[in-house]
Amino acid sequence: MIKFKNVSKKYGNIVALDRASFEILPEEFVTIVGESGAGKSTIVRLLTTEEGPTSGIVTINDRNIHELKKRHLPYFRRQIGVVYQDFKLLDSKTVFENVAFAMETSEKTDEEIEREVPKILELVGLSDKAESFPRELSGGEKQRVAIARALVFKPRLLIADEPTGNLDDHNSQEIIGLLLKINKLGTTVILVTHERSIVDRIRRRVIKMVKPGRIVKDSKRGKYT
Amino acid sequence: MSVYKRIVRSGLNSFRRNGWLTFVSIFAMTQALFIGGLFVVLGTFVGQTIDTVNSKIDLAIYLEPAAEEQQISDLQSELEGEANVVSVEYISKNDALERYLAQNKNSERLRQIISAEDNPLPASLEVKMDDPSYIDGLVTNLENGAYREIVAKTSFTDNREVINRLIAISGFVSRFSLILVVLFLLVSVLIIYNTVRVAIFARRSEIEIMKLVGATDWYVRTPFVIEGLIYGFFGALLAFGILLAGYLILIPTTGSYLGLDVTGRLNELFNLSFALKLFFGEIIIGFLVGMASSYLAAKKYLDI
Repeated sequence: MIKFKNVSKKYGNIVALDRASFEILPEEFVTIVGESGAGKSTIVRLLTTEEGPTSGIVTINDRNIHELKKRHLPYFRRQIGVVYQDFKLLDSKTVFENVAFAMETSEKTDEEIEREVPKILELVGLSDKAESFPRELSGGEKQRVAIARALVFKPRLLIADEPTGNLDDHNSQEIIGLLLKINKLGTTVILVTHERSIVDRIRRRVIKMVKPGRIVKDSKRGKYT
Repeated sequence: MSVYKRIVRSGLNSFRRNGWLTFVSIFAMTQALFIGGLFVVLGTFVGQTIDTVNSKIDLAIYLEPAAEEQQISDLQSELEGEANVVSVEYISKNDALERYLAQNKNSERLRQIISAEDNPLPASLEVKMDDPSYIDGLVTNLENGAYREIVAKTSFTDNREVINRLIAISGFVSRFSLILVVLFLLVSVLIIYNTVRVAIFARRSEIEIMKLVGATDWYVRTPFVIEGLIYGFFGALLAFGILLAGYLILIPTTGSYLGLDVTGRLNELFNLSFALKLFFGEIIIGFLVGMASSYLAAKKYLDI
């Protein structure tokens, strides 16, 4: 599904990603681990096309995503859901509106939105918080709203960039559980994290990175080390 | 279809919800359009006054008593053929006398000084020109040309200095007011652009999130453009309202100034067609400036 072929990214003289090559299969659950600065976030930004590679090719379903025309980018982005460490929710909108908001930017009708949003909120376990504002939610709940928003377009790929970075242990476990559940329903999940305990507990494929931007290990049922 | 509805609704909503920024934006728009409008009104007023003064500067060519009728009509048709000459009227000695008598109908003594039998008034050609700055050249040609023998004197000879200075002043005033209008419009565009930029800066995270969940540039930008359009509309409405109110309050207090009938002149200027032109001019400029500045200001945050 996703292929990185000899992908490098440099900012001036600083190497953020060094000749990375790997492949992710459909419905896989992949964790990308490493200390900060190892190049994990660069991989995320390349996948969301916020940035392009200095050299090498990134393909999704055999299409080079950095050769997409600018006007096609929005449609491409609807096919991948992204969840961030800082949630990126709109404080002035309710939970329902934050999720509906993503759908509103597309050609979806109001009826579809009214129908779909409650289903997704149920999936992430927030049905009873639909009318709450983000400031009234815990960190874990906020992240679940973000995940719900990332799922509205039924993406084939969900990228979670340090989703538990701002959460306590209990909430972290809940979020990881949710990601596993989404993966089970057929979505490819890329989890980027530097938290050893999470990785060791779930025992899925681990791609380990070290500074500066090098992949040093890729194991099928891996541990952090 | 529902996308269009959503975009318009979102533009209207942020217009309503952004309280303080909405207020500041409309205020900036209003004052810029008001000052611009004020200078357009003043400029037009000054321009019209200058036109009136200009049209009062005519040229009278006094003819030698010996001039023959044929020569005079030749000169007349030659003058009529000149560019910038609007009309040439022949005033015979008798016409001049009648005018003199009519002008002095209240003073018997002045009327008795001359009579039809003993008429010292010369015949003349009165030339009206559309632009008085050409009088100088015309007179110079006349003084050196084929007709110099029948020309005794021109009204210009004595007033050359004064008329040239008047022309210079009126040219300066009309150019100066035009420059001011352009300058204030430019300043207003900058003020509004900056205000909208602040408004959009305050919502950059919203724009970023919209882009990341797959909103098109068009979807992100259009509500801002609609917002700018509304700022422009209300700004123009207020600016025009203030101008109109100022005019209505000012009119009764003005009388005549420097011998000019200011009230009458303002009334003449501020008729319905001028008011409509001013109103729609302000609305259109408000629309354009509001939309353009929103469009440009949003552009910066769209490149993700």
